[in-house]
Amino acid sequence: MSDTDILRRRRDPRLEWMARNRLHPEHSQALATLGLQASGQEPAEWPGPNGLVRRNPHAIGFIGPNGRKRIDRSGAQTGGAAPAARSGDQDKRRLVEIETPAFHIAVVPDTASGRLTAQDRDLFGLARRLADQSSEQQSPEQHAHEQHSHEQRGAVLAVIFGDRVPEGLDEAGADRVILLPVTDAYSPEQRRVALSALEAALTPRHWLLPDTALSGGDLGRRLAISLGERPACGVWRVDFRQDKPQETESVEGAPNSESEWLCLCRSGSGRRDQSRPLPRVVLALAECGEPVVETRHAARLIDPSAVLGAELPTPLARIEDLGAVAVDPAAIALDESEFILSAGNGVRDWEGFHLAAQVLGATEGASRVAVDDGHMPRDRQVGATGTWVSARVYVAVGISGAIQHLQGIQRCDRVVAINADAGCDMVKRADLSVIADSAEVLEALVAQVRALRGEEIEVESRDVA
Amino acid sequence: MSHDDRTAHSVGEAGNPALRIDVLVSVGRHGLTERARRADLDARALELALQLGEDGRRLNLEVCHAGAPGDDTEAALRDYLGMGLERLNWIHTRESSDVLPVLRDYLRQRDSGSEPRLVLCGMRAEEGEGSGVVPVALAEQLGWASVPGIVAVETVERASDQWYAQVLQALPRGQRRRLRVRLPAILGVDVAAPTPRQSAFGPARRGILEPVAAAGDLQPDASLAAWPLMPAKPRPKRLKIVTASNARDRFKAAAAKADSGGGKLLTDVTPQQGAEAIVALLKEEGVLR
Amino acid sequence: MLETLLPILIFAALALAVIGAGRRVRLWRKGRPSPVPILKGLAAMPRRYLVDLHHVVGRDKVMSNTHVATAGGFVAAAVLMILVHGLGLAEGVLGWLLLAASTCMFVGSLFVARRRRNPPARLSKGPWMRLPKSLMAFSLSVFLITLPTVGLLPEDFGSWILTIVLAAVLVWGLGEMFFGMTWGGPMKHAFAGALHLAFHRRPERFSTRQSDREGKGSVATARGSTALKALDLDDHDAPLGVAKPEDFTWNQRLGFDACVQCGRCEAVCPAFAAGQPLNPKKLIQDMVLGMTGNSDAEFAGSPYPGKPLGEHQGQPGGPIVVEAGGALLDADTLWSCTTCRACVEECPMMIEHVDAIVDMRRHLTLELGQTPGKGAEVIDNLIATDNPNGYAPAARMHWAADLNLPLIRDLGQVDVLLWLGDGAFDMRNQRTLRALVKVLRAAEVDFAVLGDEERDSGDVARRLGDEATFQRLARANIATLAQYDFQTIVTCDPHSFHVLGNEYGALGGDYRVRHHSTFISELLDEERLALGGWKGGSVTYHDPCYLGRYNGEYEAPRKVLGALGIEVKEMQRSGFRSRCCGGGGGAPTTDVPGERRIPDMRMQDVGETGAELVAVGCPQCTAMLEGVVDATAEVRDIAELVADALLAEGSVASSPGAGGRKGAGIPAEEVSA
Repeated sequence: MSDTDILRRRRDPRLEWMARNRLHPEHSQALATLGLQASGQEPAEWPGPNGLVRRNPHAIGFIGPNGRKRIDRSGAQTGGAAPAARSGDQDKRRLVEIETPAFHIAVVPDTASGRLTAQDRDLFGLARRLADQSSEQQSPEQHAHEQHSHEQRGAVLAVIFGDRVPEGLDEAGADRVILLPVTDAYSPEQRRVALSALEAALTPRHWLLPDTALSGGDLGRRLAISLGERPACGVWRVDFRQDKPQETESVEGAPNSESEWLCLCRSGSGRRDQSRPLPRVVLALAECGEPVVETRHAARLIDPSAVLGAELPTPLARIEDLGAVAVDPAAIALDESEFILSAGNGVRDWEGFHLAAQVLGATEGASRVAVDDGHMPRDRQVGATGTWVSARVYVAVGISGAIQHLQGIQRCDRVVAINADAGCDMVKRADLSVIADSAEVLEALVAQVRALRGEEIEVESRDVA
Repeated sequence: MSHDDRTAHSVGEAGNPALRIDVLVSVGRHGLTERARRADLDARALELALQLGEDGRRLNLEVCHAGAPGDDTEAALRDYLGMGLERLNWIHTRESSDVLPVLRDYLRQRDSGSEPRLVLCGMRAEEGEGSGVVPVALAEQLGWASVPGIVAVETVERASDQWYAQVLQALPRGQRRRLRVRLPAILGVDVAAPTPRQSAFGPARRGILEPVAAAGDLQPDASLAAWPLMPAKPRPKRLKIVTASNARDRFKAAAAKADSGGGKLLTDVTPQQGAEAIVALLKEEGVLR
Repeated sequence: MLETLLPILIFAALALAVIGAGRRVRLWRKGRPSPVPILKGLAAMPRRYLVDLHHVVGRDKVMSNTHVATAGGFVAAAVLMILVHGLGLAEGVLGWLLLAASTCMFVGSLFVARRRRNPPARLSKGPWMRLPKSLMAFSLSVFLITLPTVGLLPEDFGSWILTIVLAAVLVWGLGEMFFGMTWGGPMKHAFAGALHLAFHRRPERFSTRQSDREGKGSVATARGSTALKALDLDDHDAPLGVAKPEDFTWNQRLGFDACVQCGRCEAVCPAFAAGQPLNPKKLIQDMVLGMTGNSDAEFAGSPYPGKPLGEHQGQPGGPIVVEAGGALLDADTLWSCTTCRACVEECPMMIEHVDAIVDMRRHLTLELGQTPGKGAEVIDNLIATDNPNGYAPAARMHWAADLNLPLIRDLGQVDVLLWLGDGAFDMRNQRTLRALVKVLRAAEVDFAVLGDEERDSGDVARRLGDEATFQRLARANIATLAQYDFQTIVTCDPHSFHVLGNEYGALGGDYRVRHHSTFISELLDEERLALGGWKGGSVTYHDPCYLGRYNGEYEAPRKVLGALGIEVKEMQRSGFRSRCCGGGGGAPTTDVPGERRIPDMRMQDVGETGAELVAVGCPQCTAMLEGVVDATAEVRDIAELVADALLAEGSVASSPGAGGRKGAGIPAEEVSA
């Protein structure tokens, strides 16, 4: 609740007086009526007699990084409940529909387990820019004008393999969606042929794919080669050309040099950039564009058979997918893992630790001391003298944080410390520290994750039934 | 190293023809000092090939580099020799040449007859564009299969007059997928493949860099000539996207530190509360599955 | 009867000994050539034996006297016996002298026998157990056969049975002493040992009359005498290190044969004590087996920890190490060594264990590319970034951003060049470096640093066997240093100190190098530092191997500590007997598993003194000892102690830049964040 909300409501002076008077027998009811008290806690704030909001400094604020209490007086932190209300706001985003597109920008998102990845959204953002390019060229007044001719605008076409439309394509910025009937298994050749068929039917102005190793990157390269052109790989910036490309710049053998867009491509080593006109096939890195936030789009389904004909041609399948190989998370190499549960000198209950790693699905790591003491094998050692890790989450259990160890986890995104000693260096480094007995915390973790999983499994089985 | 290294390779029955492997290697550079050395991915490709030969399989292994002569290149190629090679074919090109037709002709020339045939290389080069197009383009032009992300070659077998290789492909998070690939095939090797063996000084010094003439005329790389490479610009760090409608929130978001970590400290909590906080973080990061 | 028998026996034994000697020499000479001055060496031999060898042996007084009696008695008795009984020159005093010599030898052999009654574990058993009896047999029988010669007994004393018994005992004695000496018995050590002294590959290890006059110690720390020998990389035919027993130089092979299996090396070896698979004594014996091609089943001493006897077999011309194991040695034996030189320091036969180990490592690294653990990565980093951890070379001076250190590139000429070493990248060592800078500034020393031009000294690369990378780094450093004008190099890293001072010479770089403890001690002598008193608790000092045993500097650090008012509580193993911290020779990177950790044992040594603080003078030692969990003592570098004790007037860290004083004065917390 923000202050203004309270003030705008009709005031009941008597109720407010009761709320102020802590000794009043109906004090707590009054608070509850005013909606100031969650449940039995001290009220964080209440309207004072003059209409000013009074705050209880003991009930607000948060514990700062050094264990000190901090109060943010800017108003962002009142009682910890404020900003949630906004989610209920109605969608203010403008709905954009494009009836007759002048051209198509095809985006082939990776979609990890049925969801768009962050990189996919960036790609759609870039695609929007390319599709709306004509409006971008126009003057600001025209740009502000809602009703500009649709004929100049392109449509962003989301190309999805399989039969499930991922959620949020409209929010991501897709005007059209086409589902290509291709198996879920790894079949780059078949997918490439499907894209080629789409190319023949719609001839999108640009093909945008995420430059990921196995999915988009590989497929995009195949597509580009089959189109006989050199794809732009590792694209991380696309700029509209201010100066019109001149004919003299066009180089023989360098296709599509007349594009109005320039792109910057990062080389394989990451140390070089190449600036070139945007080719038809673009393999882009994460953050190549800003994801769409202010508009929603139609994401209208296109019937593939209407566009591509009844059946896709089947290529010679040189690659056959034999399925996933069961990999023990504990055995994943440390530098490949993105979730590491690491044990140090403070771990006494090793069975519990291994169990926790197994239940959480985390890769096991260890400090030098734990390895030296023979609790863990040497290839599990994390640190400057062991393996440098770059996990997304690194949970350090009973590790005090020697300099070498902290050096080894520099590249981890989030570090969680479970430690008995609040003063150790690992706690200083950690994003979240739990000061408690590590064995008990791990036990509780296991129980909670199991409970979580149990629910999920139940839900899933009900879905099936 | 990782779990898949020790996957048993089925040793073909006696009388099997030798497995013909070409490893395409390029010049690598150290990330900080840019000193020339073997390229990590190509070295892993060579390591995969060498390990295939260690199971008693007959191997017809050739390693090839296409590039312009130079001291740096020689130093890097000697790194590959140091892994225990006697010779390495070096197709001399010019600085500006397109290596794609050169390599295509090289591979086409060395026809292997009925032998099973694999071409291994890193998924991307470290020098030049390093766009990772070469293996795909080679496969397309030769009409071969191309598979990226390889970490292991498990078996090479014949089935109804056709050779197949069973390979493992690296998925994110250390996962693996098994594929059956019709040969000949070009396999792009992933960083998760076995660590390349140490390059030793002695064999590197002794090994022979065999100059090979390019089959056809050298063609200049038109696109590289038109769009030269320049030192990478630092990528801007993306600011948090703020959709806030009022000025104060927008200002706060803009002024906030990019990574508002700081660290949360939970003391005097029950283990359950602590675990709850951790689970919340794990969920937020999406690592709990 | 004896008169006829004796010359025959004696000359037969001598002839057999000569034949054996010829065979043995031929065996040694199968090694690679190593030019030594033959005559000069032989001439120097007696002095080397009497002075240098006995300097080592004399550390154990009883054993030393025993050896003097036994060996002296034997040499005299043998010569006299040949004269008296062999050539019949019995006249006059010779017979009496022979009696005296054999008596002396007999007394000595009694002490040998006493020592063998309950031999310590480090001594080899087997044939060595019979040695006292053989000594007695020889001395007693010689004594007895000489009694009639001098007329103390009638010529025809006793019966023929007695004569035969006496002759048999004499044959036993002669067999052990003459035949066994060159055909491979325990007495081989005398023959090979004497020649080894004469043809030692490091003649600079031995004292000369001149060095005595100059008052230098007689042992082992002359400049360069502890430096590893450089490989000639320009010679493409020369083997890169030692692959097979024949790749050792002939005098190295001779040295292996000189081993007496006394096990002093075993007793001091940190890797052996830690349960890592290394025993220097067995390593040398394995080298002997490699020359002849035997199995180690007969070895009568302690095996490599964790490796039972009888599973390894050598082969002349065959590889010493094969990847599958089972050859003469396993690779992890070689990689367990910390190159601390404790074995070499203790060896009475002046055998060079570390040279042999590094020679074999060179083959593993340069030819086979089998540097274990993180070794390969360290070498790759050194090749690509000139530092073992792969940091950006341009980041070398980041730690001193606030110190405003003068660069020698800007000055061109300076008194002292401060060599930072790779500790410049290490957060712990940066504290030491800051302290050292503070001390230098307090003493107003005219100094500068190389900055980003400095490279790793090459120490780790060389100990890991990568001579090529060592030489590349060394030549690059020498070329850099050649551009500038300075008097002295000062460093707080004993490894850099040793390599710069002792090993760059062979590649053309001769410098005056000082360890910072030595340099601070010189500053104290010149009264350029004002130090306050020591207020802390009791302190012990840990001698770094590369400062102490490698360079003989035991005094300066103690003097500096003394100047601080600290009375050093010495550990039982200190000075030349100091136990390694486990950080040398690339051991932390190759990381061979053992039962214990070497630094833990060293910290226990510290704990036994009851000291609350252990002073060190080496970044490796600091890192290793600080890595000990639940240590009882704090680890501080000498430079830090001195910096803390600087008196106010002297302690102005005169860095003009803002914050410089604060940076130099507050070492710990701010860097650890």
